[in-house]
Formats: sequence, C-alpha cells, structure tokens
Amino acid sequence: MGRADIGARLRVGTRALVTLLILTAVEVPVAFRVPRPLPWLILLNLADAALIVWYFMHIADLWRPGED
Amino acid sequence: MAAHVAAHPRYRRLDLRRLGLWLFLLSEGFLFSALIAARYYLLGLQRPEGLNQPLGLAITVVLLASSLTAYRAETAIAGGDRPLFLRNTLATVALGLLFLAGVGVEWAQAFAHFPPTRPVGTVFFTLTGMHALHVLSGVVLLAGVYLHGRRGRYGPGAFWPVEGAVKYWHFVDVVWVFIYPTLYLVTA
Repeated sequence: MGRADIGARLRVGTRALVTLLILTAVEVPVAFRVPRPLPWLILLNLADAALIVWYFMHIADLWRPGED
Repeated sequence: MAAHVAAHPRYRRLDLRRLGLWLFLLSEGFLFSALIAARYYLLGLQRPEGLNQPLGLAITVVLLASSLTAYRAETAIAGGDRPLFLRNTLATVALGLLFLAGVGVEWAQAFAHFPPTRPVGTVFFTLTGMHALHVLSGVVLLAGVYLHGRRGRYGPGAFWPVEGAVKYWHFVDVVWVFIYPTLYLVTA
C-alpha cells in the first residue's frame, strides 16, 4: 500500500467518523422532541453500527479470503 | 483447493484468525444483548432521571473519535508508516482512558441519584460497568500493541495483533452505540 492509498483510506475513515457524529447528533433531538422515538433511535443506531462494522471493522474481509 | 492452501498457509491462518475473532465478538454481542434486554424488562421505556446528558453525549463522541484513531493506526501499519501507527495507537489509548474517566464521573454522580440496590441503579451500573471493563481490556490490549510496535514489531503483511486489538476496540464502540441511547435517550 502506497502513501496515496494510505491517504485515501484515512479520508474514508474521516468521512465515516463525520457521518457517525452527525447521526449521534441527530439522536438527541429525536429522543427529546419526537413522540415515540424508539423506532427512529433503533434505525439510527443500526446505521451507526453498520458504518463501524463496514468501514472500520472491514467485515467484508471475511468474504475475501487471502487478502490483508 | 489443498494445493492452494499449501501454497498460502499464512493467508489461511489469517482467515481463520479473523473468523475466530468475529465469532468471539458475536458471543460478546449476545452478552450485551442480554444486558440491554434486561434494561427494557426492568425499566420498560422509562428514561432514568438524573443522568448527566451532556456527559453521556461527550463520552460517546470521545469513543467514536477513538474508533477513527484506531482505524488510522491499523491503516498506517498496513502501509508501513510506523510513526503514524504509533501516534494513533497512543491517541486511541488516551481517548479510551478519557472515556473511562468520564464513566467514573458519571458513576460518582449516579450513586447519588439511583443506588445499585434499585432496578434503575442495577441496570445502569451493570451495563456501564460491564462495558467499561471491556474498554479497560481494550486499552490494555492497545497499550501492549503500542509497546510492541515501538520495539519494531509489526509491518505490512504482518500486523495481525494490531488488527485483532483494533477490531476488538471497534466492537466496544459498536456496543456503546446501543448502550448510549438505551440508557440516556430511550423513552416512551
């Protein structure tokens, strides 16, 4: 992996974090202002978890045997 | 297939390690799922009063940020950039310790509002305590990775301990993503 590849991957990580922070910031007003917020909170949390599992934990590597 | 495996024994070992780690994390997920289910069983959709909402949000942001530094550390060592790897591993450890300090402050305040003998106290201290224990073990793992990294271990193609520790750290983050709203936000 070259420097350009590292830079590209780091940018992907930064974008994932920004999205996570936005989703978390949305959770608070949803919880306090939306009536019956549970379904919305579950959706937001699932989106958060999916972002982490896909971009940070590289779950797709499980289906790409032999790749680092 | 057999010839392929014989030609690439390291890759096969790596695949098995990854699968084993994911299965371990899945089993840990069941543990936290049970604890979260217990919260809804004991408290229903009632939001506990007296929680420090700004602090809860702040430690959530800290833990999310630590996932980025952990990701950067793994990416850096995969690309052979050791200084970047060391800086980001150390930053992840520091953010983990900051998160634990925040939980400590929350515990000190929570004892006054809901002692562990009440259902709400049981839920709060069990969930946050079990999670904090996992954060602490992640910090210890990452500190070990940092020390080994300083001695020159790990490099492109040989960084499984880094990958394993970082994946565990992300898992701890995923768990908190569910614990935070479960404790601080959910209401009827």
